[in-house]
Amino acid sequence: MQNQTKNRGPPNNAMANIENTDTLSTAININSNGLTQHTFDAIVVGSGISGGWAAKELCEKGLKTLVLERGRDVKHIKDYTTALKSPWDFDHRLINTQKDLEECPIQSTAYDEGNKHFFVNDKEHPYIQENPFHWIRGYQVGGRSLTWGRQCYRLSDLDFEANSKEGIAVDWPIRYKDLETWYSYVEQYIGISGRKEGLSQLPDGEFQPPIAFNCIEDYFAERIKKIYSDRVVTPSRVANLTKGLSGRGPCQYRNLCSRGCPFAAYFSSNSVTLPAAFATGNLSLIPHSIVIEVLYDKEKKRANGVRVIDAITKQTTEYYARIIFLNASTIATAAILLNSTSSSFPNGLGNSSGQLGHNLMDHFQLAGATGIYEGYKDKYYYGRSPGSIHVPRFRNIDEKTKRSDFIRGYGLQGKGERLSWDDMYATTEGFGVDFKDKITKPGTWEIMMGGWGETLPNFNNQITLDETKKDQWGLPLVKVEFKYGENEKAMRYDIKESCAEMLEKTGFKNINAFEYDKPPGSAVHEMGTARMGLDPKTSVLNAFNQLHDVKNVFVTDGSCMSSSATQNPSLTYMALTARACQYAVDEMNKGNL
Amino acid sequence: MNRRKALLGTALISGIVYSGYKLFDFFTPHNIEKLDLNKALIDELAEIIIPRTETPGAKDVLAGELIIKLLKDCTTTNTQNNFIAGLMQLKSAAISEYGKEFLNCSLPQQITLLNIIEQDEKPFNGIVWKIQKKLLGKSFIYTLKEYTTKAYCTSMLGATQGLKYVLIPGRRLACTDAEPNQKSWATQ
Repeated sequence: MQNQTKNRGPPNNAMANIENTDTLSTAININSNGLTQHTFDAIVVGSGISGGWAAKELCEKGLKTLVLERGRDVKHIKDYTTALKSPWDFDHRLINTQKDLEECPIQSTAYDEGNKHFFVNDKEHPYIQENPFHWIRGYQVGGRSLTWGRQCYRLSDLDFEANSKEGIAVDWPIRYKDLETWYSYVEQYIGISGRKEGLSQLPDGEFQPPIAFNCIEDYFAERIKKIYSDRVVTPSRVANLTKGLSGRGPCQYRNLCSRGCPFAAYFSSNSVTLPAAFATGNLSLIPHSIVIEVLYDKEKKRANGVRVIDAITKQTTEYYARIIFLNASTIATAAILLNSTSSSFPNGLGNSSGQLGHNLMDHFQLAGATGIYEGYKDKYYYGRSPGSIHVPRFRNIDEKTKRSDFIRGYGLQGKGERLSWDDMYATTEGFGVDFKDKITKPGTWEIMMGGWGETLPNFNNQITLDETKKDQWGLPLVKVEFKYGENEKAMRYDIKESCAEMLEKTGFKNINAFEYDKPPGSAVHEMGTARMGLDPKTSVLNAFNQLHDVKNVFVTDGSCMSSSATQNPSLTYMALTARACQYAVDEMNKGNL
Repeated sequence: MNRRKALLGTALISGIVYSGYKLFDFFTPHNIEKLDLNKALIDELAEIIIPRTETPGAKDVLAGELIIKLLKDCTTTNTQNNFIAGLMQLKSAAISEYGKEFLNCSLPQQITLLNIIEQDEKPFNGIVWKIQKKLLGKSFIYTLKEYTTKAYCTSMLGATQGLKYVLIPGRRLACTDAEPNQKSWATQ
């Protein structure tokens, strides 16, 4: 298997990379009144951040591609209905109602009145929590690429080698060199602002100029550099354009990204990859299409299509293709495979290892600190930054930074701002002119930061399908079991301590080190339910994200992750997707798929 | 202390005592119409907190209306109850202390009453407050200030005149010199 991982770079010109003219499909145009044909070269399940990439890459390589999205359509700009609204345009001024909390107890922890239409309704889309686990979802074209945090960080060999070195779970079947050029390819295409730091644990990428620090962030970064030899404060690497790119952006500094950006200044499927896929003429996209299962042809030993139920009419249909990409998101993709049972795969398609659905991970963000700084009273800022500060991992990097209390590490993310009315009404005493004066003036500078910790893969953290309970489409409910382990708990304590220490040593006051009990899943970084690995006996996917058991099925969303690392993972999903698409088309051309 | 006791009775003394009325209807909806019936009082309280100066005040932005809306739609039952009970207590305190309706008291008298209750409801921070807030809901003055501030700062007049607001900044100046009498940004 190892020789499969030879370093193949991305195409220099993706548009020209069309070798495969021998396609199965015949019809080209699909009108919205009904499909004229059901056979394609490729099917992509899901249109979120990785599905959008699969669609773009496959379409640009000349494959007639069908994208199935379970939710409604969301058209770029036209359907960003709240994007240009001011606070007073909202009935409850962006405050969630009690009805929100009752009907959407999970999603309402992540949404507000400005973006709630990009989140599901918990009542309509139930799942079972064996332990508290927040499954935040956006069922629509574009998925959660509309509401994501946009932080983009490369994994390094510190991450890819960790499982192997520590004997945890399974080794990643790839190394940094396998992804390096694909990271560059994706970064250049989507546009990421950031600063090169030359760190081995957080490789530099292809960056636009960073979003500049304000004066407290600058001060903090300078002081940290002087005091600590092992850490650096860098502008977060975000998929927000500081310069125009291919007719998109630049960022207008509204900091309302999650409502959809009419300037296309942050990356989403809706604004970037899906339009590129449509431009090829090869894309068919059908919303309201819930994939029930992947169909398996026992004779040919390959998947031949998917069965779909229309979310509105509840009619079922089948679509067929030579290759299938599953990009429904970590939990949903595993659920589809678990539900795809046959005599060949009684426990779910591609599940001969018994690992499917297991090893669920999420980053934990349960601790951090705040502190205020009594200075720079004469300084302020203009424009609302969609970025933040980032302190790349500094624990267990080498012998010098080795900890005895936990393995792996965490990154810190935070923000420096002057306190505003929303921070001050609770602590400003009195009534009248003085109160008004205080809360309408900029307050002291404050830095808030918190950890994004690596969660170890654990077989017992899993999703399964309930045997009796079904949703309104007759599909079995997903059941999530998840608990943090001792390593995460020890790390959580250190996050709190180190945040407080860094603020204290750099001259901040009133330091408040905090821990909170957000349920796992709250980082919206769920991953790992169909892990990659070298051995088909212990992993679900190979080094090119193919099911070991069924080679024409690819999984390139978060399910594939063999470990969680500390980095926000979407960039890695995109790079893995682009790489898997190239491989899939190469294999098709060779007649192997 | 004695004065406060005399003024407010035992219900508001300290810590969790303000939940004294929980004994009979803590988690059941209070008479929510009391909010509408006391709209004039809520209007006035909001204006006392954020008065019109050279910039608009709470009445100018119709804060009272929004405070009632938020109390009805966005507030837990126990915080609603605390609020309504707080209103009633404030009214009776005005009569027992000054012999007239709160709305007929002078501004200094009104502020005196509000200050006493605010001091009584402290702390607004720390662990005691967190537990209190979680178990018993937010206190009367806390909610009053929270919603008055939100109503004002998210309104068009408040955001654009009381504070500073730009819908589309278009650029980022990471470090600027604060203007004399610099107003805070309405949104972050």
